[in-house]
Amino acid sequence: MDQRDFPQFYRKYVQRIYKFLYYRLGGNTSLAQDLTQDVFLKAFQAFDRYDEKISESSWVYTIARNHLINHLAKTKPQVDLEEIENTNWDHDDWATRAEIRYDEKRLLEAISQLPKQDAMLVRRKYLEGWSYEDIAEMEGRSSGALRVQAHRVLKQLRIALKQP
Amino acid sequence: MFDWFLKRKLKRLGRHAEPDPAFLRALERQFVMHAKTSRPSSVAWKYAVASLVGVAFLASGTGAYAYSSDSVLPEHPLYPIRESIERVEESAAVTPRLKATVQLRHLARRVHEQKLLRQKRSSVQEQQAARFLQTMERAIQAGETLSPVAQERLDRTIIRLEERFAESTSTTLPERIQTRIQMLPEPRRMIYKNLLERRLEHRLEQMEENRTDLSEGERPTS
Repeated sequence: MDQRDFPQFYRKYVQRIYKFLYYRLGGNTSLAQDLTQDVFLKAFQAFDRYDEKISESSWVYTIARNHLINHLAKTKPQVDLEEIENTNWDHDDWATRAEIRYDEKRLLEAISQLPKQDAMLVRRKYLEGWSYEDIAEMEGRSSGALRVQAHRVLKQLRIALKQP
Repeated sequence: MFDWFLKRKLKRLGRHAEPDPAFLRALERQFVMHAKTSRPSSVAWKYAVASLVGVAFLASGTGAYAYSSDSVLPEHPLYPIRESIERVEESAAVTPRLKATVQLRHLARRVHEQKLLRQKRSSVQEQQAARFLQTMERAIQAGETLSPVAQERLDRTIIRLEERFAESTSTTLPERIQTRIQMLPEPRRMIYKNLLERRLEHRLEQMEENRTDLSEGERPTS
């Protein structure tokens, strides 16, 4: 693709990539900024080789994921790299840093009680801001199936939040 | 209704992780600047000018002769014209893949020239080795911007050409190549080292086979 189109591509995905990194780096803002810069620099350098058969979101997500894996492999060798999507989500490092409200903390706890796949869908869709189509591309599923799953998961969350 | 409340709550939670707008703007400025400097129009200009110079060289009969004739070798007075045309070819290659292809073509040409020089028992073979090494260096550099798969393919071709060059030269060149390989960054150094080791093993096996054939031939028949 033409590198002149890169700023537009950047504007479309920077928030999602930043959030993806921010949550998995335990809310470390400066590190998330550094890695976001690295990810988009890599994407910029490879932009003219980008194969348009792959969706843009999957492509940039893969770059971000691999970059994060490399970073964590260097700094935290004990982290299970296969479980990178869940890394740091189950700890509330970022929530402590972000000073979230009590009801938001309850909501986070309810999400972490969900089965892994369901929790990941809620996080990607609502907290990171990916569209169903993006997530479908990343997971190799249909967006319709994800919508149905999300509907059921929200119902479960609602029930969990009603409990004292 | 409840879903709407829940979705709103989730989105509000997501806002805690919003990036700093100043950071986003600063980063965007970097890419806008880079994107402006990499305008294809400038690339097209570069390509057009280089092509014109190349065509001009080739159109003059001397250029075409210097470029393609087997009798134009490093000691020949027209050889600098061949080098100039090759430089034009290099600058006309705009994509990483094209750059690598051009460098490989030039490397293959150095091998062919070396063969001809050897046949002529020319005294400039040592200089030709240095020239080969320079072209090899450029070919290795051209691989740096390729995808890992294309880079591996390029590296294999370079090694194959080096093998062909080494076959038609003195023994000092492989040592120089070993030194060059030592200077490569880690992943590529290992690839080159493994390929060379495999090549050496293959040669030793061939020598062993030849020796066995010979000794079988010498065995007296009962």
